[in-house]
Amino acid sequence: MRAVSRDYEAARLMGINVDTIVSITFFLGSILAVLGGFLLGLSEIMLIAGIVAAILGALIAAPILRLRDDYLAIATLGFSEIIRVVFTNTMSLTNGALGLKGLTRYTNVYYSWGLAILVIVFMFSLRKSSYGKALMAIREDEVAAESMSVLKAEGITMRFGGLTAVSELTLEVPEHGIVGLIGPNGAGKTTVFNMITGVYAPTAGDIKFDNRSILNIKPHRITERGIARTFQNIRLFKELSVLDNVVIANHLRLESNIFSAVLRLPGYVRKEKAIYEKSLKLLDEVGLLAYQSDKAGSLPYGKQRKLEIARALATDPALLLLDEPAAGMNPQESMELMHFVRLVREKFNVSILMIEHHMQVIMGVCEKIYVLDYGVNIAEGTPLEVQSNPKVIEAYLGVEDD
Amino acid sequence: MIKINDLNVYYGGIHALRGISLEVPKGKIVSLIGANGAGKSTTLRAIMTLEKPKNGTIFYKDRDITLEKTQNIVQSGLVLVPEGRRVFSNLTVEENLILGAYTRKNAQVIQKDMEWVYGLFPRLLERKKQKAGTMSGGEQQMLAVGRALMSKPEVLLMDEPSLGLAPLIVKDIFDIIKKINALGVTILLIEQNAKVALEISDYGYVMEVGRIVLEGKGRDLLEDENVKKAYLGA
Repeated sequence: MRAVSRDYEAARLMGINVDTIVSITFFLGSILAVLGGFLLGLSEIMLIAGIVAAILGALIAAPILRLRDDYLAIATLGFSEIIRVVFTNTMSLTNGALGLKGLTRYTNVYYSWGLAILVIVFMFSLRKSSYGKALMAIREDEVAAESMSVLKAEGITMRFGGLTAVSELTLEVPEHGIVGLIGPNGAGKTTVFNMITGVYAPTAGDIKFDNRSILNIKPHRITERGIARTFQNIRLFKELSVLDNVVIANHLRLESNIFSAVLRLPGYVRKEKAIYEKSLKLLDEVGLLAYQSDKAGSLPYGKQRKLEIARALATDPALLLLDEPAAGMNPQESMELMHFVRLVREKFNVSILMIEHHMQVIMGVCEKIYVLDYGVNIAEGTPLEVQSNPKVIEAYLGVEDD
Repeated sequence: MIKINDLNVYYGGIHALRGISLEVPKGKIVSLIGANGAGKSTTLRAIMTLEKPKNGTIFYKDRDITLEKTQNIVQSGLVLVPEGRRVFSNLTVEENLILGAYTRKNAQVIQKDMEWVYGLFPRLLERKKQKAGTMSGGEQQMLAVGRALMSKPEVLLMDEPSLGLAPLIVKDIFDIIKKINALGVTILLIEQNAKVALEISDYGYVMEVGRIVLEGKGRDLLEDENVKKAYLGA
């Protein structure tokens, strides 16, 4: 899986020491939460101060916990209770109940409110400080990263002489999304795929992959960057085994020179073995392991499609373009394909853009759909929105024939 | 100011930079031109250590920064205006600019600098309280440059400042780049629009598929037959 999101780069580029800020925030949140728990345990009168401290501590630390994926931290927040228990029960540490009794001098309503206000003022002053600014920048950077799309086509147009195949299409595939592209035959859908994979250079507009423009980059380099594609007609090596089909797809990424390959030098042999294992693992994950030695051409149609998609996955893409994956499938196979597409998205962490005519599959699996007619985007939206759109019904859905 | 020596960077599985060497002298404007995918962006990102090189060195002011942390590099005066602008959409113009001055302490000087930036970009002053995400591409580019200027950089790296902008706005941006340089800021900029970049550059490097294939004075490159054919024609 290729990571698409950037690691708080915008914040770092402003000179913010992201790691330090994150650590400080975690500590700050924890200390506040511990203080809160301690106060709550100390006396019910300290309730106000205790609750304020505990809530603010959780508020400030929780998003950071999410950032760090650090679940141990949640356990640490529970220390507040442990500390209270230790304090009230360990004679040597606190002079026992007497020691704590000393503190009860301060447990009245005024001190409680006073402490609460102190904590709130402290937090507000933090916001204005450089620490607060840094935290704001880091949060903004995270929000921006979350809403970044894997693929963004901005106003792309494709003209072949006098013919306009695609006209000013803007299309976006969010990270881990499944997006559909539908429309009558000749609407320009495959042309869009060809523009994305660099086969055609758009006459106008820009295409950004991982926020970087991929215009005018050769197709094989686009694959290297993380876009993989399947085709309408299955292009498997029908005479080779299922396993070999996947191995070959992996081989294209094998970096070595002809000498080490021909002489079978140890480094090369090791890499080759790794590829075999990787391919077997891939077949296992897509449920084709049992067929590894079978001739690819002998597989039922539905499984051949799966294999083709598996081959595309062998290149470790971030974006998978599926060109009519359900073509020629019976209802049973289409259902399986729907599940398979979802499984692929989960297991391999890819984003998917698919062309399909099979309405059941598109409506069942896509989160957003773009409708193309004569190269123009006539509608876009969720499956429900698109299905009930009169323009779409008129141009395309009309009478369902299957 | 910047000296890159035989740098090799791998981006995913791709050999993105193949032993490149270049130099950016103090006070000059240097351009890195070439087609999309040539490795220009990767070069800037490597300088800011957003990408780790396999081998080779990067020197800034005679200091080896090849493995330094990005934030430390920024703090020593080397600032990048990234591709696609990357302003903070939910924050206002003003808040973005204030964040730009994060590495600096003196509030009064920061305020003065903010007024200076508004002077360079009157459009930003008009939209002071507007959320950055609601502005046009050109305005966001101005904000990105303004924000970088707020950190008082000694060297400014600019990644495709003209990308996606109307020709008139491109002219404005490049006039401002010249102005900034006149104030003493060293500039390294990468551009697909070779003409407009070379016109203001003291020196230029041409990149192709991860390698530097040609270099020379900006003026000379503009006249070079190969450059004209490949980058200045269409």
